[in-house]
Amino acid sequence: MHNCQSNRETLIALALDQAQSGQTRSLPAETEACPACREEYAATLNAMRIAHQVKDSALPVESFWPGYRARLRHNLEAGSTSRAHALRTRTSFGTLLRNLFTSSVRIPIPLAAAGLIIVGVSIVFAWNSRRAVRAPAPIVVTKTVEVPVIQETTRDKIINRIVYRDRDRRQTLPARTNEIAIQRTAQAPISLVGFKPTNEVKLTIIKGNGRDEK
Amino acid sequence: MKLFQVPPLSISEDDLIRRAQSADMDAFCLLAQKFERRIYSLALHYCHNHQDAEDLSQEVWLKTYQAMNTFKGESSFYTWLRKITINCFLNHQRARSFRWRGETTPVQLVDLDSIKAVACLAQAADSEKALLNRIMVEKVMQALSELTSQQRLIFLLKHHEEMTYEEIAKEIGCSTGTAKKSMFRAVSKLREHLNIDIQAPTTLHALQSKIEIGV
Repeated sequence: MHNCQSNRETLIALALDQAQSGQTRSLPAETEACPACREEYAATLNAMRIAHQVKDSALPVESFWPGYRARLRHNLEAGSTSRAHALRTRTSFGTLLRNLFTSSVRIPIPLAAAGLIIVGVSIVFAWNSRRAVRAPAPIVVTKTVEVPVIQETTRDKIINRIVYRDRDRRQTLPARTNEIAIQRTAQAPISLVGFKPTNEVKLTIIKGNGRDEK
Repeated sequence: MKLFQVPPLSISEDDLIRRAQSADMDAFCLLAQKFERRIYSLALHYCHNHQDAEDLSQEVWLKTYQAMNTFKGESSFYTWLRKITINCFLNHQRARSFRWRGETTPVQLVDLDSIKAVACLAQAADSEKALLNRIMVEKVMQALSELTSQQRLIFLLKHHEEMTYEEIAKEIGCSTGTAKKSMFRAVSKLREHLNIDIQAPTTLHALQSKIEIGV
């Protein structure tokens, strides 16, 4: 399928080639068959031919060139001169540096000695101050930090136990025991002297039932 | 001031290059003489005025002279010189766009119909052929001045230097597509400015005869 738009590039290349070589080039068949492309090609070719023909016409006349060359030489020489000047400047700077380090001046001995002492003291002072700067005293930072403390409170436990005695059992005690107790009571007056109430109650729990006894 | 001498035929380009590399200014000037018109023509079509073209071409030669020692002979001398020229043009373009940002180039449009009138007026001063040439040059320059600097440079490299699109793209640092588009735009501008009648013959001689017979 012929596409005029995509064919444009080929047409320009062909026209350029033909304009530059001056030889007639045959168009591709599809371009030849398309009137729009033929027209495009002709217009492009004409423009390129004219541009090609006037290419050298734009150059100045022959009398221009000697002056142009003279100016070029002048520019080159100026460029070389500036480079040489830069080189010279660098050389003189080197000489200045060398002189600075190799030249000597005459001064009186006391003045030189005083100067040396001042320099020595300055160096020592600077050294010490540097050391002081290097090793500064450690800064102690005191901070109060509150730490929660859990206090354990001890509690005294008081256990009260009431022990009940079986009345029936007391009643079933042998009559003899009762009699002895009555006699003792009759013989000695009742007194609580020596009675010491106990704080601890010893309780012995005997596990078991009637079946186990059998 | 010492002027250029005609280069002796016995001195080859290689000899001149070797001598120029050892800071022989005479040899360099002889070398420059061989290519001066090509470089000047490129600069003139790029800048579209003689003063700028001379400045730019002189700058190219100065840079070439300074860089002579870097030429290793891997390509032809002219290819190397063209590379320096393109770099100079691109630098010039940057400097110019910085200086003239926002300003437009005044373009004087001359219709081809007025060629005869202009020719008649200037008949006494110049021959018709030379005048016609000058007018056509002006028209081509006007067409090129309406392109961007990059498009103009691409057109010049393609049309004057016959470089391929790939080479142009590599030298300028753009894509091949951009180079092709720039070329197409330049051709369109040329066609528009030259206002060519497609059916008529369109060489300069034909146009001249067209004026003579008063068509």
